[in-house]
Order: sequence, then structure tokens, then C-alpha cells
Amino acid sequence: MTKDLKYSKLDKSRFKWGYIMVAPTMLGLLILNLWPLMQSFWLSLNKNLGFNNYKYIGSDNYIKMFSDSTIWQAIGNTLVFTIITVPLAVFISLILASLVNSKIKGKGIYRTIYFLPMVVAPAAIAMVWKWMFNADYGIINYLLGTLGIDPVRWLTNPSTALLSVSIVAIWGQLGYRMIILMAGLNSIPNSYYEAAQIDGASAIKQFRHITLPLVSPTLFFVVITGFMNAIKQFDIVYMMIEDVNPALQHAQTILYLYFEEAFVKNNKGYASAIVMFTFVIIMIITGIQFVLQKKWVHYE
Amino acid sequence: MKRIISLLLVLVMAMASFAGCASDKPTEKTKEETTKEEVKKDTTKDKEEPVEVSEIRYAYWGDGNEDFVKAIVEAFEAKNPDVKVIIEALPWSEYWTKLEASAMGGAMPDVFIHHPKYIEQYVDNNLLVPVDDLNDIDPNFSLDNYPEATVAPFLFDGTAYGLPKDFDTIGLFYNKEIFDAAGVPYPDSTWDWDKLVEVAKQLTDKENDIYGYGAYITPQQGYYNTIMQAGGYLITPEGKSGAAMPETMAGMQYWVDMIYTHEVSPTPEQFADTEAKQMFASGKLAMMFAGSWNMNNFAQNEDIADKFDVAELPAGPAQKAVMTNSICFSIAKSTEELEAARRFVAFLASEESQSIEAAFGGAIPAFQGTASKWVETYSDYNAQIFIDSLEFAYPLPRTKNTNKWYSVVKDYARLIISNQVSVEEGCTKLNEEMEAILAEEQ
Repeated sequence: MTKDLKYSKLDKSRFKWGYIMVAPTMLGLLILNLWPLMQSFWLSLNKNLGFNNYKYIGSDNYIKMFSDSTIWQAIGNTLVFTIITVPLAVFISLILASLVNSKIKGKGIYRTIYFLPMVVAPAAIAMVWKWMFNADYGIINYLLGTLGIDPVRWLTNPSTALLSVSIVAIWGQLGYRMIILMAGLNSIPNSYYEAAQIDGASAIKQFRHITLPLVSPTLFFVVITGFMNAIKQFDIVYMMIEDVNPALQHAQTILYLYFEEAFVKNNKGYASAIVMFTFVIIMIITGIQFVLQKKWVHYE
Repeated sequence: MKRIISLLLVLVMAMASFAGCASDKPTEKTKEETTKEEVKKDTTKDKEEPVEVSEIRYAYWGDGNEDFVKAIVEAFEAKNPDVKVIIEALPWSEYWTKLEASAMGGAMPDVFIHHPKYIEQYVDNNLLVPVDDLNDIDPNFSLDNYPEATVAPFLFDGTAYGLPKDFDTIGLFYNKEIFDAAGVPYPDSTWDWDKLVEVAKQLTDKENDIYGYGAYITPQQGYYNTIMQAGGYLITPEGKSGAAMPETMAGMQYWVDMIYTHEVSPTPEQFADTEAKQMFASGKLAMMFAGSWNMNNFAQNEDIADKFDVAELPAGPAQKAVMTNSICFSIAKSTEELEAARRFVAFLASEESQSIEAAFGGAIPAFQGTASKWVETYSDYNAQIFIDSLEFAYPLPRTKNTNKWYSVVKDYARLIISNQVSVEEGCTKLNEEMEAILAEEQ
């Protein structure tokens, strides 16, 4: 109650308006995000008997999940996918963002080209890539053939299926990350670079000692959302790897299994346990990143 | 403070990721509403007829371009000016999700088509109206108007909860051009597995990328048939798992042999890149199993239309066998327009309505005699074999919760036929999992 003494009447009425302003968003978050999350948790303790009839079974779904080798393989696939896509995608988009931010001709055209995948539906992207990856008639194998390289069964060979999906994911997300990084790059004052130039710093040195530290908060955002999206990967795998594909086991992600359990087999309780576990994985990885950020992210 | 705020933000974003999983699809509702409004406008125009119009919703799976559905509804409305039918088409994959959701929300369509794989759950939960007492509407109505095999899946304790719409069987599709080029006689009803392998070997010409047979991985059009032909069961007549029976294993071995022993078929990897039906249409496959519903596609495809024909499936080591499946019309218990819905279903199941569908050549209509009209639609082909096959046809294996083991079967079939596990190991493991799932159903 002592706090109240610190604020004047005017302050209090300002707070009130502040709360009113954020109320719609907070309400939305509570109803659309927090409530479904709690429902998912409740479902994960139940078993679906069909038509909205549930039976409480405690932690049985979790026990079943942890002893299910398919789940562990899917988690493995998801982590491999994350480790391939996130660093590569962030690295490439940072390079591209710096390039299209510099003084080159036709900047606008490059920016449009790189951003184009973002305006295309993921399903369309997956279908076009699937056709390009086709082992017998695809353009990628055709081009490799002209170089004398044997055709690769991109999507059906267990060792390349996940890699092929990763390539599409990296390509599809490039534009989005690039735009955010460009915003970060634009906020760096030009005077730093001018000063560095006068001191005779090379372009690479400027990038390491000016660009990288100053863009690091934006970079951190891109990395952290990148990890979340990668762990939640579903659409591209679903579109490109069908259920008769021999490589399915080596490419299905954790949310792919979630979809399969929830909507194909109608095991909504078990599916909720899977999605809760995914949530925990995302929280742990995000937590680790927040600890590590102290070492490399520079806030002004 | 900054850190805390950003941490909170991340938390919120992480949660936002789950919002998508629980959201509904409001757009479809608005569509319905607009059509309803249009209907109301229409009816107010007809001032001459002051009759009260009942609206019923009719749902089916399809892409919404099915001309025969519109033709049938128009024919019905012409006879029943006091009933207005609103057509709702949904793709197969979304149909069941939506139907279940609407059943829980009390907003089921009044009339809809049903499938043997799902109907038992709806009957058990008391969501359907019996439809075997429609004589007050149509004096000619009788369940005897339909082949027994098409009615059986919808009978529960002798009461029909659905009236047959259509049925399908599986045939051996073959490319006449490839047979002619090799000077080999076409397949006929005397063929067995050995003969098929022998001819497939003669026709395989890998240098020109032509395979004698297409052993693609598919249940209803594929291994379900060979399992029965070998004398095995996936679900035994007693409702137990038959996956570990040696005969069932022989039925699975057939596909592995075709690909890896006799080498007369493309591999599952090739089929995952290019679908079997696409390969057949482009003349890469001499023979393959496929369902009767494919007639429409192939007969309309210029590349293959005058080059293909069909024959009965070859006999297996134990017997001749083919899978058949039928689809029915059902009425929701929650309907508020029961009288109109019964009249509509009586019409849908009548000879008149099913003859309309036969003329369009979609699926084989169920009403006795209308199937021959479907055969006439395909007079250039030996389409009669699909009807003749009913003599040795078996319904798709099913239990109360077919979906739960169905996807497990599909998983193991993929592993077995793509040679990632041996037939024996795969079928043994499949059997264990199926027994566990079936035990839960009890």
C-alpha cells in the first residue's frame, strides 16, 4: 500500500487508461492462447472416447509417450531439422540483408525477389519444390545430370529426405528474416561506419565490430523465433512427404505426429500430451538462449 | 526490466503458436448463411406458392463440382417444391473432422453420406435415424432393391441406418498397347498370381522405362485384396487381428516379391515421386490393380483413354477375392425437418436418382439394375467385370474404431513393402499393436 503514496492522481488515471488500452490484446491472449493451452493440458490427462466424451487417465498418456520410440525418432528428426535450418537460414539472411542494404544497383528488385516466397502459400511452395525434387523428371536431377552426377532420390531416400525439406524451409523463410534484419541494420547510424573508414577499417572488420554487435538484439529475435518455428515444423513435411513415402519415418517431425494422432487417429488426449511436451522443449531451448544471450547480445 | 518484458513477449509468442491448433473455421458458416439468405429471397419471389418451404442441408465429400449431385437435387426439388436442399461439399480429409465437430455441437447436416469405416461410432452414439421404413413415402421402397453386400455394412441388429448410394470393386487395369507390342494375350478371368508374374516379366522393358506391373502401396486397391486371395485376414470373422496368420503374410509377400524378387514393378521410392496412376496414364505400367472409381479419370484422359481396358483380379493361392465397399445416405437424429429429410433420402436411394448418377459415370450406383446403366456408360471397356466381381467380393475389414488400427496397418505396410522390415517381423509387430488396439475397443 505504500506504493500508492508514490503516485499522484494524474498518474493513476494514466495507468487506468493504459490498462484499458492493452485490455483488448490481453483479453485476446487469455482467450485465444492461455485458455487453449490450459485445455490442451487438461486433455493430455484424458483419453478421447469419441464425440467429446473424455475419461480421466492421469499421466498414462505421458508414460505411453516416453516409451514410444516413434516419438523419440520424431523429436530427433525435429532437432536435426532445427540445427540444419536455423543457423544456416539466419546466416544467409544476415548476409543477404547486409548486401541489399548496401549501395548496389537494383536494390528494390533484389529485395522483391528475396521477399517473394513470403507472399506465396506454403502449400504452393511445397508442391513446386516437390516437383523440382522429383527423382525421375525433376529439374534438379536434370541439372545434376548435365554435370554428370547420378540422380539423387531427394525425397524418398531416408538420408536426404529431411535435408530436402530443410532446403525448402530455409528458402521459404529467407525473406521474412531478411526484412527484420534489414530494419535492424537501418537503425545503425552511418557515422560509425564513416569513423571506421577514416580509421582504415576493412569492410569485414566493420561488419564484425560495428554491424554484428549493433544488430545483435534483432539477430537474437530472429534466432529465437527461428528456433520456435523450426521445432513447430509441420506444413512442408506434410505436403512433401506422403504417407506412402518410404522415408517418412526419417522425416516426420513432432508436430506431424501430433496431427496424425489428433486428426487421423482421433487420439486427442495422446496428441495433447505430445503438444505439451513440444511446448516444454521450446521453453527449455528458449530459456537456454536467454541465458546465452548475455554473452553476445549488446543492448544499447 | 527490459529483459523481463522481452521474456514475457517470448512466452506469449510461444503460446501463440498453439492458438492455431484450436481455432475453428468460421468462414464456412458464413457461406452457409449466405446461401440460406439467397434461398429466402428466392422463396419470397414465388408469390404464387404460399407453401411453407423446409430447408435441409445435404453434405457429402467431393470437390463441389459434382454435376450429378446438382442434377439429382434439381430433380428432387422439381417433385417436392416445398423442400429446399442446400448442398455442402467438403474434401474427404476434412469431411469427418467437420462431421464429428458438428455432431458434438448439435449442428449436423440433416442428410449426409456415410462410410462403413465410421458409421458404427455414429450408431453407437445414437446420432442417426433408422431409414428402413420409408414405405409410407415410396411404396416401391425395400432393402431388397439393393445387393446384399451393399446393405450389410449399414445394418445394426437388423436395422438399417443408411441406404446404399454406390459401391466399388477393384479390377486389373492393363495397357493394351504394351500387350500388343509384345504379342501377349490380354488378361482374363482365368489368371492367377503365377500367370500375372509370368506375363509381367515378359512385358517389363527397363531400357524403355516400362514395367509389367505397378506394385504401389495401397490398402483397398492393393494388399487388402491379396491378403484375402491368399486366404488370410486382417480382421478375422470373429473380430480378432489376423495380421500374424501365415496366409496374411503371404498376401503381403506378394507385393515385396513383385518389386524385389521378380523386379517387374517400380520401387515404392519411384511411386512416392510419381504416382502409380500417373505412370499408368503415361504408358509406363502394363498392369496394375485399381478401383472402379478410376474409370472416370482414365476414360477422360486422352493419353490413355483408348489404350486401356480392365479384367478381373487374378486368383490367389487360396481363392478369388476382391475388396468391395459401399457408401450410404444417412439422416441425423438432430434434424428438425425429419419428414423432408426422409423424403429426400427416399429419393436419393430410388432408381430414378441412381440412374441419373449412373449416366454421369461416377461411382457404380447400388440400386438393382442401375449398375448396368453405369456399365453402358463405359461400353468401350469391359466394365462389366466390376459387377461380376461381386460374386467373390468381401467388404473392407473393419471394427468399431477402424481408424485407430487403420493408420498402424498403413505404417507397417509401408515398411514391409518398401523392404525396410521383413514380412514376418513387420506382420508380427503389426499383430501385437492391433491386438492392443482391439482389446481397448471391448
